[in-house]
Amino acid sequence: MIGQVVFTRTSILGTVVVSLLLAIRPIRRLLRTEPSSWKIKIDVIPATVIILVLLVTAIGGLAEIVGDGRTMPLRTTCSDRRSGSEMESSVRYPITAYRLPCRCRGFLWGTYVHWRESRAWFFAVATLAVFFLIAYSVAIRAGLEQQKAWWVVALLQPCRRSTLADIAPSSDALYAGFLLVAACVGLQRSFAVQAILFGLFCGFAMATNILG
Amino acid sequence: MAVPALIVLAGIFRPRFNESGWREAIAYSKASVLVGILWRFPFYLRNWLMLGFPIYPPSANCVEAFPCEIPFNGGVASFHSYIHNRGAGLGRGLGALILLPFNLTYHAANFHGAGGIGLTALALGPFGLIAAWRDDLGRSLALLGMALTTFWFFTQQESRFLIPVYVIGSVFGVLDGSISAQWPRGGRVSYAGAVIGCSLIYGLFMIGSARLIDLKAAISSRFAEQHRQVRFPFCNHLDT
Repeated sequence: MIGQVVFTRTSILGTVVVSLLLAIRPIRRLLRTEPSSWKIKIDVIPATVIILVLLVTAIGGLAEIVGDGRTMPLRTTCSDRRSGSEMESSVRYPITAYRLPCRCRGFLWGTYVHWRESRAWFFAVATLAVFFLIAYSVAIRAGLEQQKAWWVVALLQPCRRSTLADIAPSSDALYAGFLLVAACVGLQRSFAVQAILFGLFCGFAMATNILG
Repeated sequence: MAVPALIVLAGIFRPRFNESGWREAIAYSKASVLVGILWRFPFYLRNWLMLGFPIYPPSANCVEAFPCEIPFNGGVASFHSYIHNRGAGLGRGLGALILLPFNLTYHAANFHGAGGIGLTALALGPFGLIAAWRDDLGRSLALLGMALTTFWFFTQQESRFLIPVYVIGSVFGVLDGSISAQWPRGGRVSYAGAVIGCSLIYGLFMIGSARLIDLKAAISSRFAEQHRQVRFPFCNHLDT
């Protein structure tokens, strides 16, 4: 989230270093205390994989626009500007803005326009973390123990389209998240109070993606 | 297409197959659908008011049925053609549907925007599915996954639209299967370990190789500038 405020390599690396220094004492204190029920139970391998993916996404988000997968908005801009005589029409009917119903996409387009593209990509870290938590919740709801539920999250890494940052800041990850939350709420026996919540998340999903 | 399937499944799993159960299910479903429509309606209404059709750009059939203003028709036609080709995926037809789990696992690179899904869902998922079939939520999750995959297969086969199914597949991959639990412990552990190990190594390799340039660019601004100049020689002109 640092990148949302001040986006320079120095500021972000500095903040990470300060955070790590500040975290040393609480972590040492935590390790000395007896294990308690709220402690996260996670095996070493899934923890490593999840942290690696989040780190790669965060560090990759710092990059300038250089990779192939991150050029879509730029290419869209190029093709819009190359359209020449149709430019006036495309200004009157901004297809990219109105084609899709998603509010989060509008937010991302705003970040593209007002800030640098890389800052919008840095948003992927937050989206990805939320998506991982939703996947974890689905696994817990399906009856898995905490430790095994984190394996579900770790095993999403091979599904390239769900973990790489080329999908995380777009509406697709959020759409999947809303749908899975709706499934968790809706697919259970005791439903009376959750009917509204279920409808709300179904609405979120349909408002995020036309194919929803 | 996913939300209607989810609502139907939520309705089916609610009642205990008697009249009051169905009545209860329909009442709750009505409330859910109403709330869902209220939330999503503004987005489609905005498109309708601004552009003449809720889903923009409209398909060719809809243009004839519901006349709406299109800025440049050629562009929309080419957009539809592009989307159609992009969604061709792993083929249509019953044979392709039966082979879908295999093709999705081993030939993911054959269709647009893929990159593999790992071995877990195919290799361990069936065991988890058998184990979870007696559980209501497990069964409904499995049916939801199947329904989403079928809709996806017959509409737009893009990997990104199948993300919820990947999560469901991973859940079943991790669920202890009653069949695999009957295996000798050593064999079970080595089989599951090999599958999970291959999947994780593959995933990390894919992520690392795909983001290598971005990682280098994040560390070195000089590399970033050089690569930017190579990839986008006229980028600076576009920004002005």
